[in-house]
Amino acid sequence: MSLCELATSSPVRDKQTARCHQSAMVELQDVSKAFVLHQQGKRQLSVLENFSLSVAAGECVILRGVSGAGKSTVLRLVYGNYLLDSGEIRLHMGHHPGPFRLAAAHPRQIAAFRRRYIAYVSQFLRVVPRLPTLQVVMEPALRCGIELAEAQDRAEQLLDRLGIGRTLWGLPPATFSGGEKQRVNIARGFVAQHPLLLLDEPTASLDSRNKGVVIGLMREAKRQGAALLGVFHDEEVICQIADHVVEMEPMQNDE
Amino acid sequence: MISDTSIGMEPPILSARKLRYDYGNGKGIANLDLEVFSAEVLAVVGESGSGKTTLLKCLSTHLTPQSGSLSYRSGKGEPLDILQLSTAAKRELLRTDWGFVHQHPHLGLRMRVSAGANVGERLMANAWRHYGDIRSETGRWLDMVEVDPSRIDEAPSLFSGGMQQRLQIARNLVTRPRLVFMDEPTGGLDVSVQAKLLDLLRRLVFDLDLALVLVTHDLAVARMLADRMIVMREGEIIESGLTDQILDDPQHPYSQLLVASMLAA
Repeated sequence: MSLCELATSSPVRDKQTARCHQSAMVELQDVSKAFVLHQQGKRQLSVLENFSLSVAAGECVILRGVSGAGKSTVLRLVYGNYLLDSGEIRLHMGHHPGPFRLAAAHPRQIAAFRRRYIAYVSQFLRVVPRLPTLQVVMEPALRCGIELAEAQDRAEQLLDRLGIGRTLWGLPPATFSGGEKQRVNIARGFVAQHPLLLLDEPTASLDSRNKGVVIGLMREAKRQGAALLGVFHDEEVICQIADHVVEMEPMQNDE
Repeated sequence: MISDTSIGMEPPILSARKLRYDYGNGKGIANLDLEVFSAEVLAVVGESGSGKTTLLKCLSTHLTPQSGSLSYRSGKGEPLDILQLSTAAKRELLRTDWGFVHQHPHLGLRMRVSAGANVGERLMANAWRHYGDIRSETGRWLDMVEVDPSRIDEAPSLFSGGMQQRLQIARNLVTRPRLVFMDEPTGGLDVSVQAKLLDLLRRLVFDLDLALVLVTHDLAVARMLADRMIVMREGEIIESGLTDQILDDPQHPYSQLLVASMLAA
């Protein structure tokens, strides 16, 4: 149950296309996804069926449901590390005349599109071992063409806000505590100010001060017109940032 | 139909069509199509005997495919039919526009001449004439790959395996090639040296905008370095796509087996 008064749509398999408006930045239409597990005698595991969703600029949509409901699958389909079986995912970003159609794009185009427009923020930091923290954080900004001085400025501000002390900036995060790594990863996710943020429980296990910082960062991103699509279990976070909550339920898969 | 016309749409730097190389026993590569683009790392993965190295040797002209075509877009934007080039022209390409980093440094270095000469030689092949310039550029590169520049006059046979590998990388990259092939560059190195090398490679690819074809059996290395990946089995490409797509959502039964048998990639 939601603690706050939000428009909650359920069940998920109802089409939400009625909610699609002009400024939609992310559109999923009738998306289906199943995994065929060849190692398990070709067992088919259906995760999404005819799932539709849209996220507008400046809007935050939260996916909620028990584990196995397919919440992270939705994020990964939008990021392109899961292939979709049917349906369509359209991304409207930048100054491009038409939408970016994920299923039709060459992997190379998806890689370039991601670098420029999408941040995937999870709890887990996965980077090359020896890079100093400040570089780790600056990197996504540099890779989408932001000037060095500006990237450094942004990275320093983010690290400051997230309570990563200056003495740690020159060290690689490999030796940091779990919480510190997680905050470095969050800084890395926000530094490029991408127009689409995919958030996979980035606040899980953060203390309340840092949780507040992340909520602040997400609000700023919304104000700048970013679209946020996230998985959060924390009701407090959901109340503070969600414009819309989508309830998801696991599909029935015969064993 | 691709609607976003502004990104990722430049023509490939290297394009292979229907490449076939048969060692005479039915082993090798068959019917292989592949494109490589500037400013990307393409990982080639698969178990031993899957044809990874054969593919790399065919692409880099070390082996001549029995059929198929191979086209390289030069710096001037002209397409070059690689299989029709003379031996001299191929060697010229490998000394200037291209680089090849072998798994074993002794195959890619001249072990009896100094570290500095190993690097400087490539510069001379690229029409560097001034001794002082060559020496200072060489020193700069030794520093960049974390080989102490004061050892510039030592023979690489006196270096550790990790240092030799970094020297080989410096030798190949000093002329700023546009296309580099690497065969298991981190194989056989211990973990901390591997990390150093990975960090270096990533930085160089990013800074120099080069195209890198990287053969590896290490999926964690592929995830860290490569944008795209192809999976080979029995001389054929069985799956290709974004690296994290293949690792997170492998489609082919063999890719699933490969990913499942790795320690957390």
